[in-house]
Parts: sequence; structure tokens; C-alpha cells
Amino acid sequence: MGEKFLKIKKLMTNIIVAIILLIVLFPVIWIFFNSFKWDADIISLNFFSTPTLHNYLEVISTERLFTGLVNSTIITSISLLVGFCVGVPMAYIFARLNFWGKENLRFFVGSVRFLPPVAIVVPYLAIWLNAGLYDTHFSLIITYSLISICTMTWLCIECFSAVPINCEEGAAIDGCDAFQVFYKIALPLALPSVFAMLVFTFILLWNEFFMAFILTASKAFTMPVAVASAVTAGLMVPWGRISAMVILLSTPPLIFSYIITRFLPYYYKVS
Amino acid sequence: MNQKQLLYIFFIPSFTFLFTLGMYPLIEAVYLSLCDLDFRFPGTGNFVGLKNFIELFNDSRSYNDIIITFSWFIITTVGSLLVGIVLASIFNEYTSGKFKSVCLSLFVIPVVLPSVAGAFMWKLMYTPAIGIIPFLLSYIGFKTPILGDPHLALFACSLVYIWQWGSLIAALTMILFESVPRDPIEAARVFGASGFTLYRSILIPIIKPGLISLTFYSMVMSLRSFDYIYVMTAGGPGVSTETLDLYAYWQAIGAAGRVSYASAISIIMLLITIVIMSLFWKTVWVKSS
Repeated sequence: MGEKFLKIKKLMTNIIVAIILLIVLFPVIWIFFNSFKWDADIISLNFFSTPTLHNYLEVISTERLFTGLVNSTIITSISLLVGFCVGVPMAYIFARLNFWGKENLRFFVGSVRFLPPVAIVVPYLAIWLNAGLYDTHFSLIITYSLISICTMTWLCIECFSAVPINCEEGAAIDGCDAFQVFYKIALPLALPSVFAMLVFTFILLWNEFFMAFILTASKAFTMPVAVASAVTAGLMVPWGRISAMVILLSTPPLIFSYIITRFLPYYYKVS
Repeated sequence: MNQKQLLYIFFIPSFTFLFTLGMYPLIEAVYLSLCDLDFRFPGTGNFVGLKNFIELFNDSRSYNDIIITFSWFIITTVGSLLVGIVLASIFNEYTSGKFKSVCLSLFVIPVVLPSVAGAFMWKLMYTPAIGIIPFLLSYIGFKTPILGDPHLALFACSLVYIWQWGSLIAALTMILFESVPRDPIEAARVFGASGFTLYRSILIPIIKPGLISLTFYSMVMSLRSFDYIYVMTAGGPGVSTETLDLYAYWQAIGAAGRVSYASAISIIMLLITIVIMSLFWKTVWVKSS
């Protein structure tokens, strides 16, 4: 009897695990299938219909979404580059050097990241309007750089702290100067985790909505803004097309998150 | 090049750049909130002292929004933490090996989706006649349109947040559980501790420091409710889901160009954030470490 009870218990737990996984993934799966359906099939809750690509074709030919895609790519990659170039050296300094007020400066870097975005975005709106730069790529890149620099610095401090200090001291004894130690020893050793943090920052910037929504109007809008304006427009909602948009919007972060899951346990082990 | 030169080259320009980018808007926000700048009228932008704040305190809509902001904050923080811990405990107990790590990466999926995408998915699921949730609820005789009901809309919106961040907390808590040494758990099992007791009195206390930093992060993210609420209800029905960010948005762009008033709202939002975070820091974080 005991063995039978254990078997039933095992079966029950497996069912619970499966149900939880289904609930967690259901919204994504449902949107994915909806994006291959005609609107009529979505509205009539028809679960089994012949798949069609017309939603995707229509979405890609929409000029607004395509512009959003291009803008998102440009703005995200440039601010990511700024975040890397400014944030990584700064993180190295925080991890390795001691100087006056270090902990306070480090706290400042973290706290900018934790500010409510509305406190940054409303004054930036006034600043860019005054400067005549509202709704340009430049203004959004600068605003995003703030996020990317803070995030990269804050996260990469851990990456550099994890590099064994013996390697760096050894290199210094062998005659490397401080810059060479960073460039030839610390950076290559920390690169896998720095790369993971770069991917994380990319996802953060790609998904950012609030700032882009407030700081852009008709030219420099990013992809989340384009999707949101389609979602909230009017009563006749083209569910199929929006589903396709949402899938297109979510694909890059999903791909990159797959990369990050290869690094995340490693990162936790290190810190 | 010695380390001091490295500090000058690597750090001082970068930090100055960051400091300017971060501090200038904050100073500008404080300054704007003391003016009467309004994009609809040229010639505004004069210094008016605390007029905006006095107006804000006499504005019943802002009281409503502060209450909504707090409700959202509490529902989402507590909800995502509870969901995360429960899911992590179930999966840590009942899955193992390769399957466990697959589950772990599946739990990361909701949170990497853009919040706009997540909100749309749930909006579709809530929509009467085509969504799965009204479809299921109609079997138990519940026919109210969920996002159209002033009492339910906020809970409905916060479910999206809990779905996204609760699964992330679940994934990270599973990693934390993995890091717990096996011996005390085996010992507790030998002495007959059953599943629930084991988790409540041994495992969760051991990983408490990790959980506290997760809570802190979740609290920070929870105060960024704009994306979810804007896409799902845009503050409606009425103002029943309108948080302070949304009100600031309506004042600054949506309905009027009252940038100064919006700045005053964002200053209040900033103060709320600072108060919550420092209270949490002083009462929970410092005590636990």
C-alpha cells in the first residue's frame, strides 16, 4: 500500500508542476498561436485553425512599426556602447582602487538606477523641449545612456571583484602598468560575466517604455511605443496584428535571455 | 601609468558625465516644481514658490492616486514575493536534475518580455468575449468585465506584474535554494521535518539575506507601474487605477502641458520612493545583516 501511495503522490506532484508551468507560460503561448490566426478565429475562440502568416506580412509592411524597429536598434545599440565604454572602466576602478568617498559615489551610481523614472523623465522633457531636441534620436540616446551607464557600472563591479587579485598583482610585478593590467588581465578574465551584464542591459533598454513614450512623438519613437500605441488605439482592435507585433517585439529579449541563462548561474556562483 | 593616473583617466570624466546626467534633471525637477511653466501658454515659467504643492495637497485626485500607488506597491511586492517563494519551494521539492534547470530557464521567460508585451497579453486574456479568463469565469457565473470594474481593475493589472516578477523571484529563489548546504536539510528530514515545516523553519530562514535583496529589487521595480497600467486600463475606469506616474503623464503630456505641476507630482513620487526605501533599509536590511 505504501508503494502505491508514493506512486500516486508522485503523479499528483507531477501534475501540479505541469499545471504551474502551463499557467506561467500560457500568455506567451496563446499570443504566439494568435499571431498566426485570422482575427475572426481569435474572436470566435477557435483554437484549431489553419495557420496564416498574413499578420506578420501586414505588420512588417506597416511603416510605423518598421520605423520603430530601426529606431529601437539604433538607440539601444548606441546607448549600450556608451554604457560599455563609460561603465566598464568605472566599475573596474570601483572594484580595485580605494579613494576618498568611494562608498558614497558607489551608492550614488546605484541610487540613480533606483529613482522613479517619472522624476527623471519630466525634467528631461522640459530640457529637451527647451533645447529644441525633443523627439530626436540624440535626446533619447543621452537619456538611455544614464540607465545603461548606471546599470553596467553597478553590475560589473561584481564581475571585476571576482577576478582573482593574484593574477593582477602578478602582472604588475612582471612589469605591466595599471592600464595594461586592466586591458590585458582583468578585462579578458571578467569578459564572460561582463558580456552577460551587457546582455542584461540590452534587454532593459530594449524593453524600456515610459521614457521613450514621453520623450518622443512622431519621429524617434521606439518599438514598445509603436506597439503600445496600436494596443491602446480605438475600439476595433486588430488582435491578430498586435499579437504579431508583440511576438516581434519580444523575440530579441527572448533570444538574449537564452544567452543570459547560460551565464546567470555562473554569475551567482561568482558573487 | 600608475593607478592614480588610471583613476584620473577612467573615473573622473566618466563619473562627471554620469553625475551631470543624473543630477541635472533632479535639480531641474525641483526648480520646475517651483515655477508655473505651462506649454499651452507662452510667457509662463515664472517662479511661484510652493503654489504647485499647495494645489497638489488640495487636489482630491492626487490623494486618490497616492492611495492607488500605495495599494499597487503593496499588492505587487507582497504578491510577487509570495508567488515566487511558493513556486520555488514546489519546484525545488518536486523537480530535479536536468528538468529542474529547464524549469528555471522557463521561469525567466515572462520577465524578459517587454512590459508592454506582457500587459498586452493579459489585456487580451481579460477582454470579454475573446479572452480566456472571462471564458473560464463565466462557468462559475461571474460575468463582470474585469478591466471595466473599478474594484477589480487594479488587482487585474497587478496580476501581470506578479506574473512577470513572481516568476523571476521563483527562478532566483531556486538558485538560492541550490546554494544551501545539504547537511542540515538531510538532518532535518531524518528528524521527521515534513515539506512545509522544512521550508518554513529551515530553508527560507537560511536564504533570508538573498530574499531580502530580491524584495528590495522587487520594490524598486514595483514603483514603475506606468507601463502595465497605461497599456491595460490607462488609469480607468475613471481614475480607479491611476497611479502618480500616470497623473504626472496626463498633466505633462496627455491632457495638458502643465510641466511644473507634473514636476511637483514627480517630486512627491520621488519622496515616497526615498521614504519607503530608507524605511526598508533601516528596519529590515540592517537588522538582518
